[in-house]
Amino acid sequence: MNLLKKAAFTDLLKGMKITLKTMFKPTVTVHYPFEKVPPRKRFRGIHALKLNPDGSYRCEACYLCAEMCPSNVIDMEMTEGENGEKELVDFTVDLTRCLFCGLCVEACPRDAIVMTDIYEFSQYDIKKLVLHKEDLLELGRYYQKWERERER
Amino acid sequence: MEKERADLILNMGPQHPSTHGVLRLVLELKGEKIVGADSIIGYVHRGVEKLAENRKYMQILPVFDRVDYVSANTNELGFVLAVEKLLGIEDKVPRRAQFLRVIMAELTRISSHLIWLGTHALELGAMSVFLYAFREREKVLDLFEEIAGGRLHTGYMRIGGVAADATEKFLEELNEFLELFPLKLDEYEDLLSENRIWLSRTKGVGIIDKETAINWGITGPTLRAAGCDYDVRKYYPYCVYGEIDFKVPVYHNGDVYDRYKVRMDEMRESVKIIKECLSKMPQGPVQIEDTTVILPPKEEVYNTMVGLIQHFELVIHGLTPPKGEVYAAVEGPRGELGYYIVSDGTNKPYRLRIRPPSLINISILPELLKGHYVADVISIIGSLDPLMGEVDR
Repeated sequence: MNLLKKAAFTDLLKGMKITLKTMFKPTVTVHYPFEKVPPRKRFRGIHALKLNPDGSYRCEACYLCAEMCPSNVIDMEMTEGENGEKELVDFTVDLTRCLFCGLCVEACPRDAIVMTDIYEFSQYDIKKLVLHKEDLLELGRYYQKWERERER
Repeated sequence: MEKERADLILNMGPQHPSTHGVLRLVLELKGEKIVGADSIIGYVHRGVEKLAENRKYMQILPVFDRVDYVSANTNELGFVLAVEKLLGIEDKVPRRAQFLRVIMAELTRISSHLIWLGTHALELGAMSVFLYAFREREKVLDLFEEIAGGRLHTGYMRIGGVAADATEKFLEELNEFLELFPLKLDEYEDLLSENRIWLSRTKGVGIIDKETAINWGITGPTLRAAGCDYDVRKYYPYCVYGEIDFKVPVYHNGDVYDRYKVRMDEMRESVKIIKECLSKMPQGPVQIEDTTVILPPKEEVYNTMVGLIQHFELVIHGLTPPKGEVYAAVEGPRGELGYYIVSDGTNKPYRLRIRPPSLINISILPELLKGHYVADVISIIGSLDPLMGEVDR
């Protein structure tokens, strides 16, 4: 019996049946640069800074995100504003070191730093991977637009 | 016994595609036969244990995602359990969080075994299994992305709970996956289990008997293929494994084929465990209500003074476990993954040691390879399923 099975190639035919069946099924491959799968709601892409509705900074330069970050990605500079309050001068995020763990977002007590759904940010120049305040605010505007659309 | 003289010394790796990373083997050959072997490791040493000593307990988690980079959840789970044991709060973690942890750990086991199955079959010449296995793995990664936000480096566990509750979509997709996956497993088994090429490449190759396996400290599927039923989930239950009814697959020949069978059966068991978890999972919170351990909920931080102060306290000072040392182990996809923490009462561990199952499993390689042919080396390394990120840490 065993010999008969071996001579009839049942084991190989069984496998070939599956490959043949799969051939006629729709493909699951996504041709990446041309088609993209939208990231999920909780996806952690590059950072952004949100603004208040009146256009002022949400970030109060409390340093909690920098304190929480496991790889010292975040740094900020601040000064004394007109009313004696802390005011943000520069906020840098060094994407070359970032782990994208999302702990900075969790540490933020003002919902100022957030993570967008952007995952394509390769650059030819390494200096461009250090995001400054203006870049982050620009991303924040993108994020807030996306956030509103997402909740609709 | 006098050592046989080698005709040729062959370097295999570190860039060899089927050494699962950067394992380098120096093989002493006599014709096609191996008379001696030496394994050289350390190419991806990142000093993870030292990095952990310089970070607060909460900050260590994302670093440990990267130790065993295809099974991030079990890595995190082991560390989280160790810290909870140190703090003495392991019973206070909410039940829903415990169930979610088990679900994530089992999904991780499935995704890790699927990588192993795909690459192992590819190395032994079965191309289509590789494509099919990665097709299903993609679904698991989508599930991770839905619940945790990351695909490989999920960052889902927290000391005292999990990061976020499961979404409706996650549960829906998980149920779909659980219905579909056993059928796909049958497909893989149809392709491989009786295939004569597969059988001749795996049966009777790389036999580790029970005694040798125990003496070398081997754990995980490699040990269970040798006939010993040691499984941390059964022997030292953590989370809710004690309440869940599952079998530990054991085979007795200890060859490459049995290791394959053990892993296939383990995936089936994982599906059953997840199904049981889903049916038993209660509603409720997913994080412990102790703000000295876990960050308070965001509403409290935004709206109340107390919440804000607690939030600042915890982020800046971190959690401070009492003095002491603790060992906690989980059953990772590769074996017993243990964490040994020595705390000196500050917010950073004094010393942290990982028991890496991959390193201990591949330490048998030089012994095991003797007497085999060169072609069997690939099948033996593949069946031990080492992950070099974990070996070198």
